[in-house]
Amino acid sequence: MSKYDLPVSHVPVFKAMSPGSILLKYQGSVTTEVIDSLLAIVLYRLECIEQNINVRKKIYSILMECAQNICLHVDHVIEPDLDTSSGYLSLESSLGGYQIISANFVHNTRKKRLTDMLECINAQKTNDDLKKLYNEVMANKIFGARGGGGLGLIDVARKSTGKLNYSMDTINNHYSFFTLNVAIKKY
Amino acid sequence: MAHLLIESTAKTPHINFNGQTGLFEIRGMSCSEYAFNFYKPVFDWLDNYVKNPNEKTTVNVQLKYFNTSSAKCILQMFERIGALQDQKRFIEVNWYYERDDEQMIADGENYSVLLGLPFKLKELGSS
Repeated sequence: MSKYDLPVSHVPVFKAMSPGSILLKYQGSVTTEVIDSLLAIVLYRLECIEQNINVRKKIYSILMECAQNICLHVDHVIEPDLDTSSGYLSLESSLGGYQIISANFVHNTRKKRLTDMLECINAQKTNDDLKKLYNEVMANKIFGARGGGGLGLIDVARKSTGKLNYSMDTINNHYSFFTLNVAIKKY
Repeated sequence: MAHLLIESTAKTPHINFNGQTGLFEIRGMSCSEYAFNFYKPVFDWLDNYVKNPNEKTTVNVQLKYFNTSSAKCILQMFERIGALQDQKRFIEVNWYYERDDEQMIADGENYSVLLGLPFKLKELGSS
């Protein structure tokens, strides 16, 4: 029993509902409608719990770009033992800041382009370098077939703390699993 | 010239461009992942407007959030409006931000530098 006299099986739920914990955790099929609903919930919750407008807007912007990035990559194709339409998105708060994790399957034909972009972003030494890259891509007028403009991850890097922490693990001949872990400091 | 009026949705902004008065307003959320599809009619309307523009065009931008896909479109929108400078027309851009919103201020300043177009940064609620 915990000090709150909760049955052991209820403790994880209680912890999840405590301040400084999970604000969003989603795993499942990803569609535009699902993402819109999740973002609407987070927008409302952030307005309630985060007083600092700059932190609040950074979190929402990063979460939105991560969510829309998942949408860019999910495939609605049948793959044995693999739900390529699914993704993962979480937002957790702690004393010092927030952590956003997004994960999804990426078709291997798109894997190199994505990792090259992430490496290019992480190679930028200063915020001014990131801003220069952001402005270059913003001006190029190129949009992908799925709507992406190639700016999302650059913006995530600009608004987060430290380098983009990611992994790309090969699952099979067709797909890899991409995870992005982003930190946002409060102060 | 006719109005361009587009009602807002949860993730696309309210657009009210008045071709007769030269008063353009855009406000709300601009977060569609398919931002280009949303802004395409705006670009088309502006391409017509610049053929016969007003002496003065005022653009009021009051966005709460915009995603990166929209950021590209906003730049393209202002490139069209900025071309009016070549025709010696007067352009006033009012870029509104919420109190203490440093990112929105920085975005307005960045567009202003990139476009060579003066932006008046105005805090919402202040006179």
